[in-house]
Amino acid sequence: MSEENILDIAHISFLDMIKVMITLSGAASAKGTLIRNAIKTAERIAEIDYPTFDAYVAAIENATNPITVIEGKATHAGNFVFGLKLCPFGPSIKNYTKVFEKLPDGFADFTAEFNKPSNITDQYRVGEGAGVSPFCSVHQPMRSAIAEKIKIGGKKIKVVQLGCKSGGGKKGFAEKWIIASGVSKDTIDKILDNHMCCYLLQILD
Amino acid sequence: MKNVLIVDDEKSFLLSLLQGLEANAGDFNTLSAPNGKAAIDVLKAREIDLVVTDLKMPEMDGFGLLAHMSKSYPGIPVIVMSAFCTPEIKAQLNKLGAFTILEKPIDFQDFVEHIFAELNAISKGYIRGITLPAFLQLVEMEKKTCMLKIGSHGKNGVLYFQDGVLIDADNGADEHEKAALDIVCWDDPVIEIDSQNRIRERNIQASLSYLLMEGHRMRDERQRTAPDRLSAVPHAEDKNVDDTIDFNAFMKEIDAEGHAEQKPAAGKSAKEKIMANTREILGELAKMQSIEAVCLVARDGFLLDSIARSGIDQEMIGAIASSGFGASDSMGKQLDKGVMQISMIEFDKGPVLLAPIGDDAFLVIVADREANLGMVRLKLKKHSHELALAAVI
Repeated sequence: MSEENILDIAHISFLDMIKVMITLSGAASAKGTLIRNAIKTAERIAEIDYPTFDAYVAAIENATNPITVIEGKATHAGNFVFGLKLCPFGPSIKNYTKVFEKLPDGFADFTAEFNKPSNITDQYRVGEGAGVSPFCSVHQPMRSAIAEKIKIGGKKIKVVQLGCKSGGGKKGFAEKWIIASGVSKDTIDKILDNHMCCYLLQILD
Repeated sequence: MKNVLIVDDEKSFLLSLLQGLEANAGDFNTLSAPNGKAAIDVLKAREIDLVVTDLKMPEMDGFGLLAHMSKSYPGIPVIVMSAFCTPEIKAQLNKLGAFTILEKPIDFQDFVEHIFAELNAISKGYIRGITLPAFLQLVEMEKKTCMLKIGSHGKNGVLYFQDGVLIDADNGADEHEKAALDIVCWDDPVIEIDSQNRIRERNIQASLSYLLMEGHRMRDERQRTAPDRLSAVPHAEDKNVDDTIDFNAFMKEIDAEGHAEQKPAAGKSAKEKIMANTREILGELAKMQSIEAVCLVARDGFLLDSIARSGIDQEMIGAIASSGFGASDSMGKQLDKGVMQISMIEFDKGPVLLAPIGDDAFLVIVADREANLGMVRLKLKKHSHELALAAVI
């Protein structure tokens, strides 16, 4: 048997665990648990201050940026809009579907729950249509929460989720945050043609 | 054998569906029609058990067909195919228990499974006809401009849509939002659709989803008779409610405020008023004898507001209670026990109550053994409508 056929059991059990959480306590509670977990993880990241935006982008390139460490390399598409080439949960999904063909039941309800307006998604500027799978409820808040640990030139930054794309190619757009950010939907759509995730980085005054 | 009618104007798509369904020829007959008008002819001529229809078609579209069916064939289940369906809309329509909606392009295996599911449901006596909320959500989803004449048990009303937005309503007695809140709850609707484009002023600012939610909530409350049940949302005409917050005015103000973090400082915003009122109510509950903590929690477990004696980690209580509340709710669903009213956990040192507040929140009340739980329930009933507002802003 080739070593390539051996799957990471953590990938398999994490996805099934989400399903169990949905069954036992509902999609809303499961969503809260995953978001809370993501935020707690982000809280453990050390604070860092980059002297300039260019230094911040360079840290993405050399994979020392805390956000990059978690999600992989993003591309700066201009005007502080970033596209992420690969979904960090891609390997988990691939591993799972290799064995079970399709993702567990209940994931669509969970995703709809994540996209519903809520205080916590408002706080982290995520969801609102940008969720395309339950994994977005981990990834998007975690990125936003890590951003709170980063400064550029002594100024705080924040991340605004703009859109996301599922493995099947379906795009989700965060209408609320797109309007609030002023970034055109066409721009986001084009970025998502070649990326899985799209967000705006804002440097606060 | 049961008859399934498939309505679609795309010949090649229809042909591929019919060819694919030939494998199921022993289970049901398949008939087809290229538009709503032709489908009505088939419905008149044959006994049809299930209609599968596209929405965009020439001559008479899917809306016209659904409207006609609401009058002449209200019991025939429908599967709608649409290219504009999002997971949220799908989930909402499923929640309404109305017709099934399938996203185009169609997954054939999924398509066949849904046909069997609907036909089996008929065999078991379940009726899933056309409901008005589901029809209205389709109009919104497809961004349709139309006038809908709604009839129901002797009542008549009109809803005006512009590009899928409900802009006005009239039920004879009232106009605008008040009429819309009434009409959207009408049962057994007979729908007539007029797709002529008429320019009309927008007199309704609230979203359709809000009107559906609030309209049904108001109706449920009017119908609720058991006095000892914990009310998730009291009657809209309840004096306590009207004295404090005008729900419609509140929603208008929230809409006007637009997106988060943009409210100017002049005066209290609607959100601030709601949160101040919420705090007052929590304070009233917390002041009761033997109450240790009162936490208003979103169903995802994040705190909306809370008051607790020192030593209680309110954030953690919210997170833990979310699992407990969700588990209780799941238990009720598993056992088909209906809507959850209250969940109480008894400990040596006193009870913890978990009470639903609207659809999006719940209240955690931590008490000691001396607490007057009857009084707690009464106060909850009195204030739950106002508390529910905190969860939707």
